[in-house]
Amino acid sequence: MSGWLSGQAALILGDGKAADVIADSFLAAGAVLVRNNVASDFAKICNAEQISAFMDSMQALSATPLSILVVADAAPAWQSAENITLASWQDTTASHLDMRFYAAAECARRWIAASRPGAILHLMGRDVLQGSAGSAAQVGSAAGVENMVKTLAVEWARDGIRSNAIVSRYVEMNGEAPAEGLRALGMLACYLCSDYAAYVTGCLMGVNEL
Amino acid sequence: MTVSAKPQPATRLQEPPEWDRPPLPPGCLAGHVAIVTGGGSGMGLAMARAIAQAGAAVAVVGRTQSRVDEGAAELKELGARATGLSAEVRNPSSIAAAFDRAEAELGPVSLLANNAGANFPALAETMSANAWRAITQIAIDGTFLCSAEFARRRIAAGQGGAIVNNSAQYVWSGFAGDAHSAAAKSAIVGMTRVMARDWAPYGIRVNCVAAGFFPHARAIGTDREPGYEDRLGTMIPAGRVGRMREFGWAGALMVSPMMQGVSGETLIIDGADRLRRQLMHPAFEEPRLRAEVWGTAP
Repeated sequence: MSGWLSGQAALILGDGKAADVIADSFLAAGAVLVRNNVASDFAKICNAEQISAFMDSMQALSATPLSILVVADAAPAWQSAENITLASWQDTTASHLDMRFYAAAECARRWIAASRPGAILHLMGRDVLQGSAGSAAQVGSAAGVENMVKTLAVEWARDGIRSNAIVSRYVEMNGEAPAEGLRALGMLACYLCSDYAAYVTGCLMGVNEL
Repeated sequence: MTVSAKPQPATRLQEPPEWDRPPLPPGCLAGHVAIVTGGGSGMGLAMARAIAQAGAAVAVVGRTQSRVDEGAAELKELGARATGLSAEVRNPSSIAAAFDRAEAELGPVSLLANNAGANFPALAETMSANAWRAITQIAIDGTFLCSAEFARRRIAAGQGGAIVNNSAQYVWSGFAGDAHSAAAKSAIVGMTRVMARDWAPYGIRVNCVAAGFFPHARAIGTDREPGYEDRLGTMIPAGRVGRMREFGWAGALMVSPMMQGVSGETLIIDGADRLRRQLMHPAFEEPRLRAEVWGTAP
């Protein structure tokens, strides 16, 4: 995959082993990398000025214009639905859904204004999308992200902006995921963000979810 | 809500790199032998070419000897080892014979690309049993029988392998006038998951590429006037039809060591065609009243 992302600058928001692997893979593919691991900071953003200032601060870290956005899942906090407080519900929605939309929309605004293409990739856990006990807030948000990915793919297709997601158990396994699976996840992320996947948009794909 | 100012149409259509810049490094598939069914033309040939480009020897399999010979000749021009083999993918004996001949000429088959397929518009109430079977048996039976033959040989040899199946972006929705192919292509996605599970213990990966609109010389409706493909492209959110090289490369990538950990997955490559839905549409026209069952191109 050497050269797949040459000349591109990628912003990776969020942390976790999967995000680390994607960062390493992007570097190997020739991309310039900007990372922000403090997803909770981003979750506090709630208006256009704040998101714009945040993106300015991220862009300031790279001389190359950002052309790839990767957003990783915040760490899940399992809780039975009847015990979820309003504050907890809203925090989860903010960090799992809202921040993904704000980041994607801000990048798209910039890319459209500059007449530049871009690639957006969301990273999500498989279980949280399929639904499991104790994850009502995350599942609601993840399902929202699933359809948001598809909707934005259509909305921005003619702008050359692609919107995809990787949905994998390896995201949730974090440091316990097998090396081969994580390597494949990194490769897949590189492919989806490269020009070789110019016709792939609105796609949610796993790695090995058998 | 009304939109006061109509935005200018965007024109930033994204193209893949040209054929001379493949994603897989040279020699990535060196030492492998691939069977590509339906490989004599169109999407199958694109996949055969991409796999050959990465260094594999390729047996181009199809019903018509002259066509598979033409496909194999194209691969040989790239410097690949290739052969054209006539076979009927609905017939287990014919498939086994094709594998035997491929292995005799090129060596043990370690990669399989199931591309054999066909399609034509037909209203369900007018579709004959033969018409239904013509499409479903090639795609469903053919994919199953070729995959099973491949797996039996790899398991017996104690070797892993990789399969890529060719499906379509309409498997989640279907569309009027295409009951046979919609059923068949959906079956392929399902089989991909099950075969991946069945053969994971033997190191055999199975994946699928679900393609959108990739017109080629032998596709229905693509032999029209110049500029027809460009007009087809206006139907699609991405603003263009698919390019054969990006489909072929997607298939080659899925069977390559670069995707070693990926199995049971379906990559959709359609420029968001399947997602093109508006809240308001032109009035629905009954399929049986349409000038063309599949609809009329822009």
